[in-house]
Amino acid sequence: MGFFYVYPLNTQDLRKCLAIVISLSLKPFQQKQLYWQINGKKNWKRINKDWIQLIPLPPKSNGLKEFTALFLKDIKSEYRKRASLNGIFLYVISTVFVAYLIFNQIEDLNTWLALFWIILIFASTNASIHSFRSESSSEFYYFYGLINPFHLILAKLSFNAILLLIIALFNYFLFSILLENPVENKSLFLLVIVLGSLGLSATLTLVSAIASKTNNNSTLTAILGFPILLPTILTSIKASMLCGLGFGWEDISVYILSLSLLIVVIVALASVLFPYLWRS
Amino acid sequence: MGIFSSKNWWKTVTAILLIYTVIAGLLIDVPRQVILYESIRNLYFHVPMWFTMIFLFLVSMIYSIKNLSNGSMESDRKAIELVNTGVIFGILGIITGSIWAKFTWGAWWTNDVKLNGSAITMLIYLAYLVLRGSLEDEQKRARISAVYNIFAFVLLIVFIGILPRMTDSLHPGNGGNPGFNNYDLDDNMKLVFYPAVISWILLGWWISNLRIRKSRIEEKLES
Repeated sequence: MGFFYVYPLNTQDLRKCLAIVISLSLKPFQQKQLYWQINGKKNWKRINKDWIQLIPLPPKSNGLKEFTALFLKDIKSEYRKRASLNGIFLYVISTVFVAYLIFNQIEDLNTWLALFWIILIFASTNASIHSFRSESSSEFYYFYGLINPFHLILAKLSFNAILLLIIALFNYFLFSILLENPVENKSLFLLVIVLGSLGLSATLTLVSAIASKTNNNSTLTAILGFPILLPTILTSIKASMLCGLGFGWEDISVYILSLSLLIVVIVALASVLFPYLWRS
Repeated sequence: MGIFSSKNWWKTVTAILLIYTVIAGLLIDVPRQVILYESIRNLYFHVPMWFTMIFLFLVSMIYSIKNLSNGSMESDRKAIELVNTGVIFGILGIITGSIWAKFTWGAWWTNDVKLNGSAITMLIYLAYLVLRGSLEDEQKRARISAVYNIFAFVLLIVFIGILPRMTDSLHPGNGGNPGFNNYDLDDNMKLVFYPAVISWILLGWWISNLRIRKSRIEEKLES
C-alpha cells in the first residue's frame, strides 16, 4: 500500500486513503464490528459510502468488545505475517542447536540455566520488539480517534504474554530434548518460566511502545530494555537456580511472590503510562 | 549580602554543614573496628551520595508526573537537570565505594547485590539520557522520557527493595553482617552522619537548581 503515501495529499484525501488502507487491512467482519461500536447496529450499511464519516466520530465503545477486536487483530496480523513468527522459532531452534553442538550435554546447572535464560531473553526481545510496528505508521491517526488506549495496551500485553509464553515453553522443550534437563524440581521450574516470561513480556511491551516513537530504533530498544528487564530476570534466575537444586515450595515461594509482585507493578505502570505515550 | 536573606538561608546552612562534615568527619573520634579502622570515615561521604542520588531521582520522577499531567516544559527541564545531577552523585558514590572496597574487601569491584544495583541504576539513567538525545521534537521528548523515567524509577525502587533482602551482601545490614545503626554507629558518628546526609542532599538540590537556571538562560539566549 506504499503508493498511497507517495502521492501528495491534502488532509481530506489523506483521511480517505487511511480509510481505504484500514478497510483493506481489516476483514469485513471487523469493519462491521468497529462500525457497530461507533454508530450502533442500525445503519451499518452506510459503511461503504461514508468512510470519511467514520474517522472523526468520538469513541463510544464497549470495553470488552474493543479489547477482543484489538486482540484478535493482533493474532490475525501475526498469523498473516507468519514469516516473522517462524523467524523467532527458527532463532530459538538454531541457537539451542548451536549450544547442543558445542556442549552435547550440559551437566553444570549454572551453565544450563545461563544459556536457557539468555536464549529466552534474546528471543523474547526479538519477538516483541516490533509489537507496535503497525501502530507507528499513519494508521495511528486513525486509531487515535477510534479506540481507548487502555484497551489497546491490554490487548498488546495479553498478546505478547501469550506469544512469549509459547516461545518460553518451546525453548524449554528444546532444551529438555537436546541438552537434557538437570532441573530437579520440574513443576516449580515451569511456574518460574511462566512468571518470568510474563514479566519479560510486560516490560518489553512498554519498551517497544516507547521505541515505536523513535522510529523503531532497535539499538535504543536494547539500551532501554535490558536495564529495566534486570529485576525480573535476576529474580527468575535466582528462583530457577533453587528449583534446579531441588528446593521445595517453602524456599522458592519468596521469589515466586516477588516475581508476581513485579509483574503486577509492571502491568499497572504500563497501563497507566501508555495513554500518555499514545497522546504524544 | 544576600546570604542570610529569607530566600537563600538554606544555602548558607548547606555550606556551614558541609564544612562541618569535612572537618568533623576527618577529626572527630571514631570507633576502631577491625579491617575498617580509619576508613570508617568514608561513611560520611559514600552513603550520603546514594541518599542524594535517590532523592534527586525521586524529585525528578515527581516532576515527570507533573509534566505528564499538565504538559509544562518547565517541569521537563527540572526532571532532566535533576537526573543529570543525580547521575553525577551516583558516579561519585561508585568511586567512593570502590576506593573503600579496595581497602576493606580487597578489590575495586565485587559481585555484590548493592554494587550490581548501583550499576543497574546508572545503566537505566544513562539509557534515559540516550533516549532524550535520540528524540528531536521537544514536546514528544518530554512526554516519552517522562514515561520512561516513571517506569524506570518505580521498577528500580521495587528492585532495590526486594533483591538485597533475599541475597547475601558484603554491605552492613545484609546477609548476617550487622548494620551500622545497631552498635557500630555510636553517638559520635551520628553527630556527623546526620548533618552529612542533610548537607549532601541540600548540595544536590542546590547544584540542580543552578543547572535548571543555566538551562533556562541558555534557552532564552537561543530564542
